Amino acid sequence: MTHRRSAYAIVVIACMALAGVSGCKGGASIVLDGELPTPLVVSAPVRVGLVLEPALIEYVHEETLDRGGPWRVDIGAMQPKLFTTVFDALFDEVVPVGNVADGGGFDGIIAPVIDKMQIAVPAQTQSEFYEVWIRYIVRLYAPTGELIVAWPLTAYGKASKDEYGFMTNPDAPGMQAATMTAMRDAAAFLALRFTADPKVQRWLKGHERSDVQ
Amino acid sequence: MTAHRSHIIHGAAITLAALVTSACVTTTIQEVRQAETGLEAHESVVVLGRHHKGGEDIEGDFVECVAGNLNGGKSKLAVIGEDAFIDALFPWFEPRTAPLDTSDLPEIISHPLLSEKLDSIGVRYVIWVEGGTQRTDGGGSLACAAGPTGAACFGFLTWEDDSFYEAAIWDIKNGAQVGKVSSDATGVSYMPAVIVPVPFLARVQNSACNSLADQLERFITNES
Repeated sequence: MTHRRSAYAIVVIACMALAGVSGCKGGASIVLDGELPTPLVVSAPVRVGLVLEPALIEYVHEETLDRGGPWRVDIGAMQPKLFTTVFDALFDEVVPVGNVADGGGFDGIIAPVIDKMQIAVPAQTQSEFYEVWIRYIVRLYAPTGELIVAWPLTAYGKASKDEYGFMTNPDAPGMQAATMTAMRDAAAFLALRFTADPKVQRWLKGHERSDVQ
Repeated sequence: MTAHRSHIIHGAAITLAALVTSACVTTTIQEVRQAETGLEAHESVVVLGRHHKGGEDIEGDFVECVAGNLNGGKSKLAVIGEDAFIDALFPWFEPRTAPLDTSDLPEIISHPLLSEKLDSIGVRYVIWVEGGTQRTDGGGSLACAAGPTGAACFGFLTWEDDSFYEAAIWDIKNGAQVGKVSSDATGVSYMPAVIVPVPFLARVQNSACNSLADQLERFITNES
C-alpha cells in the first residue's frame, strides 16, 4: 500500500514536471478556417474585378517567439472568404480576375495584400491574451491600371488563455480564436470604412451607373 | 497509522465537499431608472459584453450567466444569444464598431437594413454589461511536500475578491438609454491546510451574476 502510494506520488510529480517543461516550450501550428457573416451594408452600383494573388491566398506567418516557441499560422484559406464576402456586400458585382491588367471591362480593380502580421502569446507578454495584428493594403485601381488609392487596413484580434484549455495546452485554440477575431475585425472595418475613404468616394461618384435606379 | 491517516483524509474530503462554497459574499445592487420599461410578447432582449479595444474585457461566461438567468428567471424573458445577435447585425456590433453610447443609436436604428433586421429578430432592449472580478487582498502561506509515504500540505491562505459589473439598458425602439443596474459583490475565501487543503470559496462572480440578473429582470418588467 505504501509502495503503491509512493509510486503514485512519483508519477504525479513527474507529470507536473513534464507539464511544466512542455508549457515552457510553447508554439503550435494552426490552419485558420471558418466563416464570416455577410455584412449588412448597402451595395454600391459598380462592377469591380478582384485580384487575389497567390501571396495572399497562400499566406503563412512563421515566427519563433522569445519564451513563446515556434509558431506557424496559416491564414491563406481565409483570405478569399474575407474579401469575397465583404466586397460582394459592398458592390453590385464582383468578379475574380487574374491581375490588374485584366480590368478593362470593370469600373475598378481591387487587389488586397498582406503587408505584415504579428503575433503575441501570454508566455511572452505576461498577459492573459493571445494577440494577432494583420496589416493589409487594399489597392484600388482604375480600369486603365492607374492606382486610385492604397488603403491601409489594420486588424486586431485577441483571445484569453483562460477560455481555452484548463487541463490542456491553450496555445493552438487560443491563437486560432485570436486570429479569427482579427479576421472579423478586418471584415468589419473594411465593410464600414473602405467606401467612406474620400478617394474611394470620388471613384464611386464617377462610376454611378445610369442603368441603376 | 496508515488507517488513521486514511480516516483523516476521508474526513477532510467530506468536509471539503460540504464547505467548499460556504464562505460569505456581500452583494450591493444599485439601480438608476431613466424611463419606464416593459416587454411585449413578441419582444426580446440581448445581453452583450463590452469588448472594445483599449477597454477592460468582460468574461464571456459572465455574459452567458446573466443571459441564462434572465431567460430562466420568473418572467422567462426571451433572450437572444450574444453570438447570434452579433452575427445577425455584422459588422455593426463588433469590438471596434459597436456603439459606445446612445448618441450612436439614432444612426443604427435609422439605417434601413439594420432597422429591418432588428425588427425581424424582435430585439427591444440591448443590455451592455461591463466590469470584472479582481483580487483585492490576500495573505497567509501554504507549503506542500511529497515523500515516500505520501504528500501533505500545511498552512493557511486567505484572499478577497471583488466583482463589480454594470449593465446599461438601451431601448432600441425609442433609441435611448432607459437605466443602469450595477452589482458589486465582495467575499473573502479561506484555505486552511492540515495535510489536505480545504478551500472555503467565496463565489463572488456567481453572486454578482445572480444579483444583476434578478435586478435586470425586475427592471425590464417594471417591477423595481
